[in-house]
Amino acid sequence: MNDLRVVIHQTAPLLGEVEANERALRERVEDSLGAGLVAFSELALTGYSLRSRVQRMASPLSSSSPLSLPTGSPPVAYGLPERGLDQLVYNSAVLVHENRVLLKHRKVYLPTYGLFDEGRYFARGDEPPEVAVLPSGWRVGMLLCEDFWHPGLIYLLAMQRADLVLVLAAAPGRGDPGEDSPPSQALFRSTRAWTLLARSAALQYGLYLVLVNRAGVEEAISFAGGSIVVAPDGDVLAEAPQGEEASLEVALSERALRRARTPYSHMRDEDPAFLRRALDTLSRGE
Amino acid sequence: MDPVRPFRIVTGVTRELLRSTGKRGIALAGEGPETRLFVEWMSQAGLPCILASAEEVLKARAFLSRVCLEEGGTPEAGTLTQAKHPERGTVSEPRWIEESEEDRRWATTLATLAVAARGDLVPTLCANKTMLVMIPAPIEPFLPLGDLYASEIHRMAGECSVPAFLQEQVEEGVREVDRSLRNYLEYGMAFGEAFHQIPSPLKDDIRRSLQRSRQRWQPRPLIPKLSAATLGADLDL
Repeated sequence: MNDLRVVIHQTAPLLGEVEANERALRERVEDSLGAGLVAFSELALTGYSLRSRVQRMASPLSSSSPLSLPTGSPPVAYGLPERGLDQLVYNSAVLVHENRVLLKHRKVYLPTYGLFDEGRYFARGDEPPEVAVLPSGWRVGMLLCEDFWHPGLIYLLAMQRADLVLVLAAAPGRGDPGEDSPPSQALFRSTRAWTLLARSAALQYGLYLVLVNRAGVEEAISFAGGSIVVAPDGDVLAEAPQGEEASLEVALSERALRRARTPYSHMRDEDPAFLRRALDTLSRGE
Repeated sequence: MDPVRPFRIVTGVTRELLRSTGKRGIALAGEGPETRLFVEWMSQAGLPCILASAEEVLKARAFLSRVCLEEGGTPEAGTLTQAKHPERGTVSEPRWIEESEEDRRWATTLATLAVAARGDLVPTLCANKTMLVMIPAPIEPFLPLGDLYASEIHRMAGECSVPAFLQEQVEEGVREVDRSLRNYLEYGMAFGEAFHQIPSPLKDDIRRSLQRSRQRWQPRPLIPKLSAATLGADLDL
């Protein structure tokens, strides 16, 4: 397995302007033709605050890529609203290559509190996240935003031996970071929480964690940006600025994966059967 | 308080508002530290911003007086006449001594709407959060400083606007009020617990203002629901 060159694009999709967003995605993919993997944010095709407009904007996904990409494009991950065969609308992410869908994930945890209202407009994904194998041999899993705040899902991807987990987000910026914040986190306090989660997950499961957030503004909400790439030892390899469009390019190394898992064998020794017994007990209320 | 962060966020939202609505810029009226701060930010950001003149606000006030048929006439009519006909005497500053805060707000709102309509601009009110939670909901659809407390404005601009009953508070007092408001509004504390440091009768005045304003902040637009998808409720264009 060779090193994997990952390019992430922290864009500012225009709300409801699918054609303009498609164009922007294609242009960036064209600029990244030599990469091993390209990633965009949650709902990059449509923007986030669609509310009832998702009914008009969601499209069915077949086995072929919903977005027409240039010939020779690397695998590309991005978010979009999906109309399921059950006619329900899902907040989905796809990983496509050579106009085929390699992997799809429907957001399981739909935030419906505070300024979030996804539970009103989207159906909950009811399939566990899966891992796909890239042409390079890297094993990739995907989660969407709020999914990452529920440890069970990244656990499931780690149990499937993911080398790399993509978290596609549309995370708004919230809270004053305080005067002691480093310049890279000077806009929103919320970015600090995401960074801590990402570093902790990468370290705990010995995998690469790539968080792609978006930038830009929709109505009153400013999206935080602050995309990061974290190594399997928990170190931040690259960090995008807060609140503005940016691109990051990072080489992920198979050697770093091996180093992180030697001699530490946390995942080798993990016992899903034990966990299943414990969860059964918990759900029985004993 | 470093203004860089609020400047970036407020001007970013303003820029996207103008892009998505196709409006040419911002219209506002009145004076005060919030307005001055926002106008300065707009200038720094290169965003168009038109401020109604004092004369336009006076005209709005005179119009409201005529239309609303106030009993006993307007105490300030003499002053308005002077301002309108400077050749008759010294132009004096408009005096609002006997006018309620609400009358003054209506006049600035009307002037703002007139300037906005004339120039295809977004009607805007630069009220801070401390004011907004204690006054009736404004007409203006854009409130760029509406998530900054009065004490935060004070730390950036050296002054701030507060409701009349808070005006006797020194800077420290406003900060205490804002801290209590934040605990009450943002962190879910009960009123008594959030405001336990604030003495009565000020605490009672604040409670009454919050109760009054709660009754007068309604979702906009408010359209009785009759169909399957209603603007303002569950229909997004």
